[in-house]
Amino acid sequence: MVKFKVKPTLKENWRYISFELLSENKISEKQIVSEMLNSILSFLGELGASNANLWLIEYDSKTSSGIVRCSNKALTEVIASLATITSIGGSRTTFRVLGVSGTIKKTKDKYLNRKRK
Amino acid sequence: MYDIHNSVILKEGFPDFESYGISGAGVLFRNSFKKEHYETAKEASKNSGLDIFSVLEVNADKSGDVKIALKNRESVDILMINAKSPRAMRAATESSLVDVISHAFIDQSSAALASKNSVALEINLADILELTGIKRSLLISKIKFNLLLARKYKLDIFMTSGASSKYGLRQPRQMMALAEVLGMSNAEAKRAVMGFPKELVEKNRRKHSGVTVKEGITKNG
Repeated sequence: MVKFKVKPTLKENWRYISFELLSENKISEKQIVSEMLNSILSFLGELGASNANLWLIEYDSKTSSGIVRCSNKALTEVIASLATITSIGGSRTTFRVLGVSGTIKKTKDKYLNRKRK
Repeated sequence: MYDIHNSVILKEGFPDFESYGISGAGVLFRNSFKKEHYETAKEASKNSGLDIFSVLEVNADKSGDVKIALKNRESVDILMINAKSPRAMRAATESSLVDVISHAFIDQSSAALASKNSVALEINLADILELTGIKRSLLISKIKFNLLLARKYKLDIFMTSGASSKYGLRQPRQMMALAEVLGMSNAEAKRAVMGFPKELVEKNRRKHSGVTVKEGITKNG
C-alpha cells in the first residue's frame, strides 16, 4: 500500500491498549489477530470496524500480553468489542485491559514493563 | 465494583477477583436458597478479602412462583426474579419485596409498576456473550428498549457479568464500555456498573439489620 504524507492536523490520533490474555491453552499471535478482527466485525460491523482501525502492534506469548492500536474516536467501541471475546481456538479466553495510552513507549513503560518485571 | 449475578464462587471458589477490579460478589442460588452452602462460602471468603452476599434468582413461569419466592425474602440479601411470562413479570413488579428483574425484559406497564415499587432491572452480560449474529442483535435491541423505559420511568438499571466461570468475568472498564455501546451515557454506565449494585447491597443489609428509631429501639425491616 502506498503511504501518503499527511499534514499534522489531519493525522489520526491513536490510542494504544495494553492487554493481557487469560486462557486455558497457549495462543499464537495469528489466532489472536483473527479472533480480534472477527469479534470487531461481528460486534461493530464493517463500518464500525473501519472507524476503529484496529491493529495488533506486538504480542508476547510468554507473558500473554501485548499492545493493540486503535483510533482515538473508537476507543470505547474497541474495548467493548474486545470484551466480547470468549474463546480463541476452542479454549476459553478472557481479554483483560491493562491500560490505555497515547504512545507505544508510555504504554510499555507504564503497563507492560511493570507486568513483565 | 460489585458483581451481583455470577455463579463463580459456588463452582470455582475464589479466583483472582481483585485483578478484575471486583470488590464484592454475590453467591448465586437458583430457585432455592441453601444456607449451609452460603455459610461455607462466607467462611472461605474471609481470607480473600472479598465482600460476599447471598443472591437468590427464581425462575417464575406464573404469578404463583413469585409468591413462593417471596417466602425466602428474609433469608437472602438480594432477591431476583427471572420472569418467563408477562403475568409473572407483572406479579414481580407489583411487589416491593422483589429487588431485581433479572435478564431485563420488561414491558411498559410493568416498567411503571417497577418504578413505583423500586424494582431494578438487570442487564446480564453473559446473555449477550453467548449469542451471535441476528440473535445477539435482537437481544441488544430489546435491551435498548428497556433502557428507554428505564429512562422514562426513572428505573434503576445495572449491569452484571452473569459469569459461570472465571473466564466470564469482566473488568469494570470493559463493562462500562459495553454499557456505553448499548446506549447509556458515561454517567449512566458508571452508575450501572460501579454505583447502583453496591448501593443495593448496602441498602438491603441496612434493612435486614433493622432501623434504629431511637437509642435502644430497633425496628426490623
